[in-house]
Amino acid sequence: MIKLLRADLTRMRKTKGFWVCVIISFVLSVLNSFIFVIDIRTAENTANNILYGTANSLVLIAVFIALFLGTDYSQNTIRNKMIIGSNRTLIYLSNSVTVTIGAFAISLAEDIPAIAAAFFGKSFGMTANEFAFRMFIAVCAVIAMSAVLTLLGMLITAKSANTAISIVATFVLALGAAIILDFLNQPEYLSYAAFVTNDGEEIVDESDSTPNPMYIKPGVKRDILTAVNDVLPTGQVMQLETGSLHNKELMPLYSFGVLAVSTAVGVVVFRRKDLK
Amino acid sequence: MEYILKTNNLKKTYGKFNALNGLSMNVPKGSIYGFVGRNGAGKTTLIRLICGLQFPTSGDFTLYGKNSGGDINKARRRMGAVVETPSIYLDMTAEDNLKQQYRVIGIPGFDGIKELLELVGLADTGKKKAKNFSLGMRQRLGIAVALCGNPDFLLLDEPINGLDPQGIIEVRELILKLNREKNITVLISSHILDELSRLATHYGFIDQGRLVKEISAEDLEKECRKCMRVTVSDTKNLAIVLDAIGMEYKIIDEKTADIYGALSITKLTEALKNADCELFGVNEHDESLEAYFINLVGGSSND
Repeated sequence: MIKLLRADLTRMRKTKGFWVCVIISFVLSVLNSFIFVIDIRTAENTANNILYGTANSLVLIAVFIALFLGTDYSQNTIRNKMIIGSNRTLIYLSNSVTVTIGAFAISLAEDIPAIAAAFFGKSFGMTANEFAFRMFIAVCAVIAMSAVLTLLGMLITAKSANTAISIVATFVLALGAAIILDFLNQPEYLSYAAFVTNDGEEIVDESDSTPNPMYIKPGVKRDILTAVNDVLPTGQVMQLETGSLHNKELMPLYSFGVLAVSTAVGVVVFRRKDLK
Repeated sequence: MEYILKTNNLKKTYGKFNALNGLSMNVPKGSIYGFVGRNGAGKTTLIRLICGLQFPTSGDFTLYGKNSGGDINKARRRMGAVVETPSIYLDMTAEDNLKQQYRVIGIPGFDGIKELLELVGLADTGKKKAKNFSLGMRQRLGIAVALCGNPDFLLLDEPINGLDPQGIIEVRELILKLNREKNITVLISSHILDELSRLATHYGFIDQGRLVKEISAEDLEKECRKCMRVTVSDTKNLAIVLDAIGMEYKIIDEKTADIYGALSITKLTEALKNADCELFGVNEHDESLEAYFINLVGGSSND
């Protein structure tokens, strides 16, 4: 495993595509943070700017993983590992660890300008502990997403198809998570009548309110959508982006579950896969 | 005889198509084993199974005595292969490709890379990336990658396909050098029979997923040996003459026969004249590997 990991990490270091993704991630974050710095005097929550970037880097991570793993298939170099008797499980795990480290690097390239910009903000917006925990959730989500993309990359042997599927899958998962989150964050009423008493107390007259048809009432449907959005790495990232986290304590555990299931499925299928 | 590879009733099925249909073969140590068959006969499928890229549907094989059902991966560490196209990183130089394979194998340091590049004639490629190499250079780099772990068994699948005449000569000489100087056993699959006949010490003929015949080059030479094909007025009289002078022969028909061994045409003409047999023509005749193969598997093509 160490031998394969060393070889894979060296290859990643020498891969242009990896550095292009890191640089794009950094430049996008600089642009985003620069614009943010212009508005610095009105910025109330600079921490959210840092967390916001994770969603942006997911697409770049998908591109990087698809290209990195696809190269081993398109140039048939994966054979060089198998012919000399490397264990298939170790080949899979080594690739998985390598691309996860690459995904971290891309995320980090996104985070550094955002963290630097945070020093210029009016207010950080949350405690250091809360920020650290949310960053931990983001890191776990990146690991889980990398595991899902590794599964696709190791099982789809055509590089172009794999790249297209990985990018589309990331978009679909991100868009799906955003839509689900939008439904979950819908208010119960579109408008309501409210009265303020002489004591300054606000009284809501529900009989005169307009119910929101988009609102999902508490029940099985809402529980399922909440669970889906909590489990999906893109759902977690979207919640970090909007700042409204439903079950933040469980999110790292969900990410670990996604990592474990994706890797187990990937290893089992890859071990029996016929390669050309 | 010591064998490096023995396959036992190997079968490989893709859906309803039997790519290998009970193939049993033996590759002797130190040989250059020419694996001959048409396109689609199952040559590449067998090599994929040996390399661990695919799994047999049934049957098994032993590599250095290790059975495919057991701990075959240790035995695979002693082999190298180039399957179809060379497996190289196109964005890397020749040296970087070899370094990468050294890391995969876990060889400490990069000693021996310079020698390997010299061996395959790529020592002067410098910083030129593999994507800018000619097909022959890529093929030789692929062989160099396969040689990284100092293997003593090399599998080459169609190594001269698409090469120009110069490239073919380079690869041929490299294979002979590896076999003679480094004592590497080579399994080489090809359908370019003329080229294979310049290399192979043993042959395995495969057709429709089965091994039709396994034969040494020496025995094949005997079966395809040179002879004199003569056309005469009556082969009965010819037979009497040849028996009298003790020559080996084979009667083809009433007017044609093959005579084996060195023979003086003048003496034969005189002897035939005395036996009242007219000599119409004499041609040197030998059965090529190609003709032997066609006779063995039939003339129809499954391309």
